Amino acid sequence: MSDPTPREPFNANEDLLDRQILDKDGLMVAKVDDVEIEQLDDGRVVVTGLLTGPGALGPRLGGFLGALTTAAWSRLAERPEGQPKRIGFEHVREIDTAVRLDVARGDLDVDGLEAWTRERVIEAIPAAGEKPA
Amino acid sequence: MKKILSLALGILTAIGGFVDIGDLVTNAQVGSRFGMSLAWVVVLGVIGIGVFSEMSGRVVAVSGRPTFDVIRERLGPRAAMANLVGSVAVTLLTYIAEIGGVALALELGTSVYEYFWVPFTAAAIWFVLWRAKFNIIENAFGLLGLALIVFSVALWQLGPDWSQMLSNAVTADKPDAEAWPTYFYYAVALFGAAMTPYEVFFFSSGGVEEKWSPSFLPTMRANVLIGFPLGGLLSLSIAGCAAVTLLPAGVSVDTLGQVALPVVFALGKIGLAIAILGFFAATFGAACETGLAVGYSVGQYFGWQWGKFFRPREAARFHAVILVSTVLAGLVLLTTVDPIMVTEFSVVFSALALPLTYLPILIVANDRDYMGRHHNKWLANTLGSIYLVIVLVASIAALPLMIWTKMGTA
Repeated sequence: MSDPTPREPFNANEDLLDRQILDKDGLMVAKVDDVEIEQLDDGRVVVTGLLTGPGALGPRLGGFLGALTTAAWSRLAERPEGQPKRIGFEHVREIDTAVRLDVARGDLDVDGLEAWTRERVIEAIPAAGEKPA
Repeated sequence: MKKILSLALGILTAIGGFVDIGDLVTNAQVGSRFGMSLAWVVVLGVIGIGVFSEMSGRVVAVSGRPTFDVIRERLGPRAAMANLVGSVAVTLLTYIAEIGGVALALELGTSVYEYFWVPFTAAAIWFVLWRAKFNIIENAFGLLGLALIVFSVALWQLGPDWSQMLSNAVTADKPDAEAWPTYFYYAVALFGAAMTPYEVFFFSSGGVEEKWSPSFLPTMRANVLIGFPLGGLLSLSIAGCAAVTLLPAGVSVDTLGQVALPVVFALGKIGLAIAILGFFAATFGAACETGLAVGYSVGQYFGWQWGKFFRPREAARFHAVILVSTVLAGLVLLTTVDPIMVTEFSVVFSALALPLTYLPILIVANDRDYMGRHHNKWLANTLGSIYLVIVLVASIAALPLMIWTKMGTA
């Protein structure tokens, strides 16, 4: 794949779905669990956002496990099903073997479970904020 | 000079880190029952793990994407979820076996009941995974694991008839008392022990932890192509020791102490002490690797931040997975299940789960979009395809053979 910018045509199914999303510092954000697309007046289809988290993954898993994932997420995240967390496509800087963003992970509101685990579990353990020695 | 030292260190840790509880137990069992007639499986397994480690290491050095990241990308969320459930189940089983192995090594050294050691062992492993840097985990236990060379020394001291051993190995001359189904059951178990899937998850994720780039490829290859075969020699030494002493005496291997028995015959107390140190290092190191491998696989499927190159609070879900797995593994052992039996199950189920890991790696290593000029060439593809067939046969045969031979007891 030779450096496709978001404005050039590309295969969202192959080059975007299920790729790792990295923030501007290379930190891992999420997987591209689904994509948000929009049809323009001239008939062209453009990707407008990356959908992430269990709310987007559940419908793609399908079946009982998928329904359970979506329903559990909807309860815990207090968002209606069908409205997963999203990252606007304007933040995508580059797509290669990963999808690289131009924003920091902390400025995105996409990892509710990570924040919960950090605050309720991990930070309760001594030395959670120290670099491994 | 520094480069040579780091190359030597990599090779040494690859040797010392090669053997885990599965290799220890299975090689000793096989040696005590089949002599050297299954040595070809160790050779087959060592080449196999080399081929696939090199491939997954190359994928991660070129694309930056470790194995489970690639599995999710290639198989999609549904098939990758099924793969994740299978792989994590087998890796957890191995994790339980390794922690049990540490407890058994401590029992052997102190004569204090193994289950007393389980909570302390689990806590110590968790603490290492929480606080220690990646390369310290890899280097410290890899180097200490070299103590297992005591099995090679013991074999040499026992002074076996080498030409007889070689001829047994080459002609796959199984003792008449053993049936063929049992022979092939142990062949699958030995193959599973040599090629456990967690090794590839750990190896490829380690490439991200250590920030490999394409310039690291020669070093990575040297580690794999020199270190793994020498590690395989340790496996063969363990089997050889058992073949020389336990097989003629009719001793079957049901405990870790019996694995060490030939070393006691050959080298006495000091040999036993070194063997116990080797057992401890090999199982503790492998426990760290399997514990991390569970966190790596889950984190990579979901795209979470994972890895030891961050503070725990920056990879919270990854560390939560490790914490929960460690507690779970400790609790399973505290039901007083026999760690040797868990090990026997873990190597057979490893053989069963092998295709889940290896097929996606083979596909991606051929993908030029991902790999550019580092895509698989004819040698890697020929070997990779042959091994895919072997891995499939072992996987399909694993459960029927296990049931047919009643886990090798029939």
